[in-house]
Amino acid sequence: MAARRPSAYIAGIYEHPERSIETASLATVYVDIVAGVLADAGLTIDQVDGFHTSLTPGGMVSLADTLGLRHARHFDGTDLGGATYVSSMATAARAIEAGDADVVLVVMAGLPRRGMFNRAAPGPHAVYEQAHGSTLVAQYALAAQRHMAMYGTTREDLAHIKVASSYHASFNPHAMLRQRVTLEEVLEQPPIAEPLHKMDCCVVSDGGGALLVVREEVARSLGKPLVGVIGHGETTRNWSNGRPDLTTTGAAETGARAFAEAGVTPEDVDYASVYDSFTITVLLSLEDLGFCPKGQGGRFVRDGALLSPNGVLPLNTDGGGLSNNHPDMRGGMIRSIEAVRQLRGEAHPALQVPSCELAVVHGSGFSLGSRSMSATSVLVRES
Amino acid sequence: MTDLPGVELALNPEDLPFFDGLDRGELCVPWCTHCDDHVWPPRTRCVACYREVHEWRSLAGTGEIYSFSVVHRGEGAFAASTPYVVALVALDGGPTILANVLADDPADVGVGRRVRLAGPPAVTSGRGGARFLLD
Repeated sequence: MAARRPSAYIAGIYEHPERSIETASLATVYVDIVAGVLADAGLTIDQVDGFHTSLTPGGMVSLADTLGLRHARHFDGTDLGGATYVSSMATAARAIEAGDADVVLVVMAGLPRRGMFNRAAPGPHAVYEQAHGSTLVAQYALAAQRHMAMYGTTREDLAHIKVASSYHASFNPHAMLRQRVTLEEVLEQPPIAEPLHKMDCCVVSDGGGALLVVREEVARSLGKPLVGVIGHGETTRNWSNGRPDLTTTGAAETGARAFAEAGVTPEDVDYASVYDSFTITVLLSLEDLGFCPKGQGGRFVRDGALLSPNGVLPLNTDGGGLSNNHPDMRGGMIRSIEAVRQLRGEAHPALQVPSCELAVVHGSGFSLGSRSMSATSVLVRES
Repeated sequence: MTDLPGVELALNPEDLPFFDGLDRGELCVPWCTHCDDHVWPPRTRCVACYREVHEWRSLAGTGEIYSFSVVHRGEGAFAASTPYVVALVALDGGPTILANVLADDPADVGVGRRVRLAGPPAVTSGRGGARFLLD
């Protein structure tokens, strides 16, 4: 492994501990998250000079006011759906490299259990989905069904992904679903949009999280393990003018680009955080990121391959979106946070990957069956 | 076998020939004469050459199922119609489009099955989508 050096470091992480927030306002959730991430890094709000978020009520001008950001000189409110915060981690590092900021706060929050979550208004082509009763789950189901028809992937293959997720979540005191489930229990669940059944779908949870991405000199002054971004890629996929390819996602492009920039290969990866909006999202992403050949995802995820610490590819050790947390219907932030925990050596002791030096985080936004965003980041721990 | 509900849709002018065509039992798609290719979903310019689109073509209304899902939890007007089949249909001589397949038994639906347009959607309110029958 001849990885390149990071351009900036992730000095702070924080995941809101609650999954169902009954009374606190969204503003309170945001300031609690920022208090948490500042404490984790050992920084103050006055040291923050860069600000990344995504869709938020009132726009980022309102959130900057709520958070009391007085010294921000760099802003980015890009919306890549669930892929957003995997992207933000890398674009914040690029902003630091360019000299635009020294300490970038990346923050997100939402209360979907109370009906408050951030989503763009329907686009012009949503009418073609609405006219046919195509739900979000149905759109992912189309991708799953096509993969099954082309490659013989089964519901049981997908169920292995949920079983691994629930095993990991059983160690996470904050996880929304802490109960370990068996293959049989996953298969017995009622269908939502076939071939996807209830446990193929992620949880709906309140809360959020934040990252602090900082310049090297700042990172070195804080005494935390040095975790940095060394590769990144992002792209979009859609119906491709009426010629969709539902078995290959944008990860095929973003993974290749992120690994190439990082100077590493999938074989070098110690830990993977892969967006698991649905089980099929993981399976397709693993193939496209290059962890197994196209069509072999179903075989790859069997036999405990995703279990930490002894599987071939320890994945989503917090329990992922399938069992732990999917705040604001956007999983990229929590996936990023767990990768940093693993690289710091701060994951649950039973699930910590030994000598975890290289991690990949993949985010998948919007819908794999219609229009999607992909973002992949490669993170390294410097010794 | 019952038909599916109509839906109140925020249609733009460029969507109307497709939906109006369905109401006549026809499958119409915008066509770029420069690229000799469909433009899907409809737009007023071809996304390959960016020239304006001036032509709509009526297709045979036949095709093959690229993928499908039997939906058990619908939303809005579709909530009461479960289970129903959402499919991507690869049209003969045209684009692959999202549609419904009307089938007495959803278990008969499969990837690669041939389908044909069912005719005008029988809706009492809103707009109807593209409904196909198994061949």
